[in-house]
Amino acid sequence: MDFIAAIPWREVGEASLDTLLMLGVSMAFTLLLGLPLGVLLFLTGKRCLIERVAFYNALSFVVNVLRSVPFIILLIVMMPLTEILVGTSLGVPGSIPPLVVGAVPFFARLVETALREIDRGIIEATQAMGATTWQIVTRALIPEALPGIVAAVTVTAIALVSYTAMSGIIGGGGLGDLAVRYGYHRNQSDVMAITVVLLLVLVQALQTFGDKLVLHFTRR
Amino acid sequence: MSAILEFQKVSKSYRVAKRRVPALCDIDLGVEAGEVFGIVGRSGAGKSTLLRLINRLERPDDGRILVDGHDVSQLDDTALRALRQKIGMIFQHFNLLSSRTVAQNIAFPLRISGELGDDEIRERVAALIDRVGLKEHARKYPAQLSGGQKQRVGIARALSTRPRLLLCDEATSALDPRTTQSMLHLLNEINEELKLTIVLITHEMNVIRSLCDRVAVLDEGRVVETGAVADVFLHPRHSVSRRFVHESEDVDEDLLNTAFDRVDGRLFRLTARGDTTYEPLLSGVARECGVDFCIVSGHVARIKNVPYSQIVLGMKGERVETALERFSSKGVTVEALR
Repeated sequence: MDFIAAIPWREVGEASLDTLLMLGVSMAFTLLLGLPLGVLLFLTGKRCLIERVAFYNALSFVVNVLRSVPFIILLIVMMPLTEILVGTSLGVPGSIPPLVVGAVPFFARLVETALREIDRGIIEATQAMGATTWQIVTRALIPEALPGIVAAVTVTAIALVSYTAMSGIIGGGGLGDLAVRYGYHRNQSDVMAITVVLLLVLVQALQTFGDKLVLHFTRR
Repeated sequence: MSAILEFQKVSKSYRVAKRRVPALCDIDLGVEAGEVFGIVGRSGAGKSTLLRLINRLERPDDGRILVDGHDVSQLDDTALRALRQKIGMIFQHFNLLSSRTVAQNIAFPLRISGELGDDEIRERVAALIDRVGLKEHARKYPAQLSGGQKQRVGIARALSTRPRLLLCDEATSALDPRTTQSMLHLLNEINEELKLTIVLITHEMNVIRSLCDRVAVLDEGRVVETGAVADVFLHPRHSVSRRFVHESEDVDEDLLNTAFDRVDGRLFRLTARGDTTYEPLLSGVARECGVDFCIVSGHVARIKNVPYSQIVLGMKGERVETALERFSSKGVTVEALR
């Protein structure tokens, strides 16, 4: 049982909690910023409620740029900004800003796509009732697209899990950090294996829960 | 009677691939309060655009659209929303919110307008569900309903704000013939009970025949004929109207002309409306005037609730003119075809 004894279980536990914390906080901010951004992309798009082609193209370009930067580069480039925002670029707090900046454009695009799936007739019917744009968004578009949005949250959360693992490289803490320190620097591949298993379990749990939720909200 | 809706010299075009394509040209129409007004045309004739101009889902390039005397184009956002809340609309594909139950869908326009409290909304929705015959389905979601039931929800939803005007966008085109009949029946009842003005667009002349008081025939963005449904049906003046009528009666114009050629003697079209339809005129007049006739084509049906018969007779005999006078004096319209 040397194998079990050699594993720093306390650190594994702490790292797991850190990962969950990073995931939870960054997902919350991603929702908060990404949902409005996705709605804005949808609304200003071609032949939509508040069509603004130039604005849409500019916004779309920024989103594309952010999405095309590899996350590892984003982590490094973001460091000065992160320090201004949360006072440090290390640990759990230091990894939140790059995680959010990495996930928001991705999530916003998924939201935009989910909204585009809605039958235009439903928007027209709601307009014909005399709804304001705000009412159309909050009472018709988002409830109708909810299954798609929940699926988008699931995909984004899973992407964030792999991002949190990457942020370990710059001392972000969490399971990724543990894997790098033990598995890479000390050549303890058993610890690395355990982190991989834990990450796998986390991803599986997110996917299963997300799918259940999508099914719950689907009325079609 | 006063006009609740008026189109004055309305034109509209679309930009397609940097070219202006006219959709509607110089439309002049008036709809009286309380009537059912039908607009019939082929797909692409511009009916859909015409309907959407009324609640400004589309804007005209030129001309004015007056609803209750107010120019729709001049309204600011708040006034436009207030107007839309008083114009109900139903759609070919129902456009119900799939995430809401039947009751929630019907309550939706009331929640949007915010003019009623929860209790009042519940009461009104319950009454409407009852009215359209969906009592057992109030808690179901649209996906659990048939097409006819979905359209009933659509109608109840459109009526929830007690509008004065109901716009129907091909409301029966996605339904089977039987369901179409029951839907037309429901709309007719609603028109009579609530004195609700209905403007509908369709490509089916039978919808016009069973529901409308007046009709406008639209072709390539222009109104080619308007009038009382009975007049347009029985005596269409424009070739497009005539083709619509023939199609609805399953008449093949070429075959009909071939049939006419084979008839010896003169040809007349006789049209009787109302009670005259059921009077035994043909044999009586023939006996009195000593003429012989054959029936070349004929049609007996109803326009809304008025029965009519229209037949083409080949007639021979000494006193054909007297026979025709006799028919006229009984209230039958006579047209000489040959």
